Amino acid sequence: MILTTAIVIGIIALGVLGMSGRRSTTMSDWTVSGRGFARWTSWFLQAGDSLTTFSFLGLAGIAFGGGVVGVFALAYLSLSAIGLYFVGPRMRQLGAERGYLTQADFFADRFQNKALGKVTALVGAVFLLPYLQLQITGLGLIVELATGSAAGRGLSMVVASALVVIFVVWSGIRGVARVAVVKDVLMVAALLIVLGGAVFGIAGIPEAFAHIHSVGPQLLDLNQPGWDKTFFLTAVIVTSIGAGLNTFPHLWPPVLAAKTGEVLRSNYKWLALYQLALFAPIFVGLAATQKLPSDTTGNHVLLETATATLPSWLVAVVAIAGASAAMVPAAAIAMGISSLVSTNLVTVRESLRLKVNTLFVVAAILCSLAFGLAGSDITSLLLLTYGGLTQMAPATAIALRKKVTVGAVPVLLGLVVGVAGVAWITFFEVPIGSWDSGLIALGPNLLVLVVAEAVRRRTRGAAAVSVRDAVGAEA
Amino acid sequence: MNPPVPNLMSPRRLAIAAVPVVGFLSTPLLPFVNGPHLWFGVPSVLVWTAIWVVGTVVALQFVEASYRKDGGAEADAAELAEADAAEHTHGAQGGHR
Repeated sequence: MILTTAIVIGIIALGVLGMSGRRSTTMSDWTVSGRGFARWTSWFLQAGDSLTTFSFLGLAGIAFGGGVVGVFALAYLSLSAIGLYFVGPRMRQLGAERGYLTQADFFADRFQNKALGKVTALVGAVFLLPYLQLQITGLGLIVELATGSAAGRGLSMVVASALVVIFVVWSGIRGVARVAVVKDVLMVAALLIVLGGAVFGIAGIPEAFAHIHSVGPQLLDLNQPGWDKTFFLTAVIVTSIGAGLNTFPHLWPPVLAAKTGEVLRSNYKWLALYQLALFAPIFVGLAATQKLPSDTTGNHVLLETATATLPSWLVAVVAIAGASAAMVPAAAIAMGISSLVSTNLVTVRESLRLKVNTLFVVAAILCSLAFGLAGSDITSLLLLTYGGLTQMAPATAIALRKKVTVGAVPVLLGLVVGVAGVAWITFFEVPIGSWDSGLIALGPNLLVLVVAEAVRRRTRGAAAVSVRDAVGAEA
Repeated sequence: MNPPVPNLMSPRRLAIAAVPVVGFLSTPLLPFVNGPHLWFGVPSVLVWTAIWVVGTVVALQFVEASYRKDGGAEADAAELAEADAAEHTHGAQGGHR
């Protein structure tokens, strides 16, 4: 009970911190805060968005079952930093010149097509919803595992969700940035604490690896069924393409809010170093193979190791850090969903937009909380999130060019076919081995885009010729 | 007048940035890396990945230096001055409201 209370107090402190700034009064101020974020604010915000409950719970679980294959996360996060180094400043510049608040604004403006903006907004909002639920459910799981209390799970989910709503509604991106500073520090501290627990409570680093080398060498390479070369390559390639071209809508406001392109380049050129912290959950997952039963659920590995090796007050610190690892991305995702809906999907007077937006923040979080509390499984939708959102990569690459010469309809058709492809592979369980469905679906996406664009150009060329002939005949 | 902005994605800079990409993607393909090997007591895949995480940072530092040398420093200064001016104007308008 004391542990649960301490964790809930920690969560409340994070929420209060998010509310400590001034209130946002316009949609633009709420979403991009005057586009004036300087280096450190921008750094903490972007670093905060890059490590989520997956880094906290998922990665140790993957290492526990799949071994060193967990490094795929370090690979794609580093490669996406390279992509963002090149494209982030261009996105920010276009956003500042054209007044974008969302990713969908970018598509609608660059392709001069409102329908494309609406479709991308809808795709983005729908795919982000399960991702939001994942953060809230992850937070509850962290508290439950740390305290052993199922009631603590529900209570913490409700408290954290309410606080995220309040601070996001109050100060928008500034509140998220403020909590992100604490979250980034806490997260690294917590990962080091759990690492210390594993080193002193299970085995030292060389000893743990020597033991694995003798009893389970398959955990030390990328040749296990399901966690093989193909998985590593396709997952790294597709996620790097998607994240490197910033196809996740909730990651647009931090880019658009940066003061200059140089601020973004500075972030991205150092961001990979922050990912080194991810070696901690990978080591913990590997070391835990000596301590935990082999049938332990993957997502439980990190916290079960922590509770087995650390005193309860350190477990509380780890749990609060884990909660912050959920709250910052949850806040950013709720912002992403609500701004897409209120800016690009519903028609509303400008003076009312922020109020309407507030309703969608509340609706998105309530919806995710309800699914989470009810234990509803919308995780199958989450399988679509990464692959589905990556289908926006071709459109993004085209729209970043100096002049957009491809039509909106071919891009839209490619996107729809790509998303449908990911859905088909996922829901019909098409046997694709360890290939990533998002990468496979990029094939038909690009094919349809190229064919439709060729048809568009031919039709447009034929139309131009007939107009010229008609003008010539009249003359 | 603002100074011309150099092309960030020049072939030279893209070639430098491609080095860590190749490094990461080669991980499962190199037998001396992808095997149950321990380097200094640590799995080779982990050491190799750590090298390329640091390699990513180093490569981007080179790209940045090249960009700034080609006129990016002046373009950055002009962009910052423009952003400061816009912020000042925005602040002044906000003060009058």
